[in-house]
Order: sequence, then structure tokens, then C-alpha cells
Amino acid sequence: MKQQNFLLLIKFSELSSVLRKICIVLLFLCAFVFLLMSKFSAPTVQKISEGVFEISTPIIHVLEFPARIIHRAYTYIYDVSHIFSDNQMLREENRQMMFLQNRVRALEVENQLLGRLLNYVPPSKANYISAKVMATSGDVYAHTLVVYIGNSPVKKGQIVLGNESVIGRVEKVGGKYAQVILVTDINSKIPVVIERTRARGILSGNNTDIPQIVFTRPKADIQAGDLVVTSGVGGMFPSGLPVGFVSSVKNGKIDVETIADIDRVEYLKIVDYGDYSNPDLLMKDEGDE
Amino acid sequence: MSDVFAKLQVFLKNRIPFVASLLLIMIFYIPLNVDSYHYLSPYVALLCVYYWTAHKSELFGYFSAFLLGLVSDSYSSAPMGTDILMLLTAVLLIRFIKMYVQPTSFWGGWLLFAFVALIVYVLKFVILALYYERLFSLLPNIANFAVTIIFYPMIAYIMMQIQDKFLTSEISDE
Repeated sequence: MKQQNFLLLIKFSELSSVLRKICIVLLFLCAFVFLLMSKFSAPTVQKISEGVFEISTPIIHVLEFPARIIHRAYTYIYDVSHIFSDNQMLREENRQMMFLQNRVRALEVENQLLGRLLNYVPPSKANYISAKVMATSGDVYAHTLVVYIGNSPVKKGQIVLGNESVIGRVEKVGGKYAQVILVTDINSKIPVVIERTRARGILSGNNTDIPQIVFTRPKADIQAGDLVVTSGVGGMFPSGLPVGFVSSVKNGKIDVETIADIDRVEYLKIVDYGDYSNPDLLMKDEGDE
Repeated sequence: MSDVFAKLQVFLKNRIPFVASLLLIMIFYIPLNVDSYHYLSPYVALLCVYYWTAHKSELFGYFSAFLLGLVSDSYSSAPMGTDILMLLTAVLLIRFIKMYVQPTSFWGGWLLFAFVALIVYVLKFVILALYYERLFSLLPNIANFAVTIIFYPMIAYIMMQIQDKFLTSEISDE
């Protein structure tokens, strides 16, 4: 009887060892399946990712609290120490802005009159949602931010501004948080235009600090220093939003330096451009046509 | 009643390596407003997985690595499954190496971590190059690898404190 029990115990331990090995293989397989499904943009993977994101992000929100207090104290001391020079700079800036404001008013009236003459239909107006940066991906292969959006109706695909210039787009939304893919990320593709020559292209991230413009005409007139703005092609984003300046043009490679300091952005604005900021809806509309 | 409480206590204690790793990963997600933070931020998940697999492998296995990878992937724009695969490979590698080599000194542990990290970084580079069908710049990867190696003593010290404080008594394997 004792021998039988002993043999049974050995068999059980062998079975448990085999099961454990099968589980390990299954976990590796699962990782491979996720990778393959990501390649084909399977919605299941997106849903799993969103689910984990939604559950885990509140932990960061709690952990971030002490860091936020320290940062606020530092900012307060810094601001107080620079109050005099900041005041002088703001006075000068205000003087220039007043001058520009009058010019803009005149141009706006002129633009309206010309628009009426041409029967021009203006694009839909955008609303802005403010959001606070809570986390960064901190990875060489991923340039993303996690932002707190509260109950604002943020959708995937909406463009994100930092310091009044484009810094990325919303990739996923989970509860009160959203993930933003920065323009420097390899997955970021934004249709842009060179403001001076209206040469079109796609601003493509490459996981470095300097994204590049691709798919331009071979002899497009692009020079270092040119302002790059969104083209609005595809209707997903408003046109004319500044993105950056061309930093160099070498051997067909057009490097762009972003206007916003992406590494230091704390608050950002999400552009709600009506229903057309939703890529799924856009694709559906195109399919219907 | 006390039996249930004792079992619950053991269960919670067994989850300390996973919870500590998760919290540490999350802390490193907090933005520091530092230039080029993407390159200067260490691969904390790998550091945690290495420490616990090397020092408390009975409490930190493949499933814990899988969950940490899942969280890490959900914050990243890299394809889902990348970090899961990297962390699982790290556990496999460390357990395999441990069968032949058991580092006794801190320096030995650090060197072994550098070796494991090198393999994981090369693997990640190759897999993502195949996925995106393009080669990435090597320099940011080398910089990030170096930062991860430099951070080993700090992470190991934190984990060692947690281990000494909460995991000194014998805990049954679950």
C-alpha cells in the first residue's frame, strides 16, 4: 500500500512537471500570437491592451502624487526667483501681441470678404480638451505619453497639441486616461505641408528626437528653416496647425525639429475635430462611398 | 480562522516580488521632464525580473514575468507581446544559467545581469527590426543598455531591502 502511494506521488509530481512545462510553452506562444496579431492590427489585441491600460493607470496616478508636490514646490521657487525678468519679457511680448492683434483683425475681415466672394465653405471648427501628462513610456522603441482626460469625450485618432503645436495623436483611451503617440514615435504618420511652398508630405516618426518628412515630390522646394504645418488631408486633423521647422535637407532626407519641447510638456490640448477625428468612422465612410 | 489568516498572509507575502516590481515599473513611468528621457530611462522590468529570478525564483516565475510584460506592453506603442517575450526569455535564460553558474558576489551578479541584458536587447532589436521591416539606430539602444546596466545596483539595493524586510522567513512555494 505504501509503495503504491509512493508510486502515485511520483506520477503526480511528473505530471505536475509536464503541466508546468506546457504552461511555459503556452506563455511563449501567447507572446508570439500577440506579436502576430499586432502586425495585422487585430482588435482583440487592442482590447486586451486597453483593458490592462485602464486597470493599471490609476496606480500611476496615486504614485505620481508625491512627485507632483515636489515638482510644484520647485516650480514655485523657480517662478518667484525669475519674476522680474519674466515680467519684463511679458511686457515686451504684450506690446508686440497688441500690434499683431490689430493686423490679425484686419486680415480676418479681409479673409471673410474674399471667402464670401468665392463661396468658400470653411472646415468644421475644432474644440479643445485640456489634459495633464501623467506618465511617459520611457522606452527606446516607444515614444508615448499617458494623459489624464477625466470624463472628456476623447477618441482614438484625435490630434494633440503641446505649446500650440502638434506633438502627437491619441492612440488609445481607457477610462479616465488616454495614451498619446508622439510625432517622434515610429508608428506616427501625420499628413503635413510646407507652409512656404505648399509641398505635401507625411511626417513620419523614427523613434529618434527628429522625425522626417517622407513621400514628398522629388523636386519639392524644401529648405532648412521652413515651417511645417498639418495639411488636413484625409480630414482627420484640422489644417494649418504648426508642427515644427525643417532642420536639414540632405540626400532626400528631410529632418524636422518639433516646436514643442516634447520631453518637458506637462499639459496638452486634444483637438476634437468633430466626428471626422475618428479614423474608424472615416474608414467606414470611405467604404460606404 | 487563524489558519485562513495565516494562509492569506503567506499568499500575500508570495506576491511581494511581483507587486514590488510592478510599483517600481510604474514609478519609472512618472515623467521627470528630462531631455531624451526615452533613452535615459532604464529597462526597469528587466532589472526586476532578473533580481527576483536570480534571488527568489520560487516566488517569481514565468507567469509573473508575463504579467509584467503585459503591463509594460500596454503602455508602449511597440507591438503587443514584445516585452512579454523579452521578459519570458530573460526568466528562461536566468534559470538556465543558474543551473551551471551561481554568482556568489555582487559583482558576479552584476556581470551576469549585463550578459542577460545584452542578449535581451539584441533579441528585441532583431524582433522589432523584423516587425517594422527596418533597422533602428544603434546608438540610442546602446545608450539605453548602458543606463540599464548602471541602474542595476540601485534597483538591486531596493529589492534587497524589500527581500530583507518582508521575505526573510521561510515561505512555502505556491
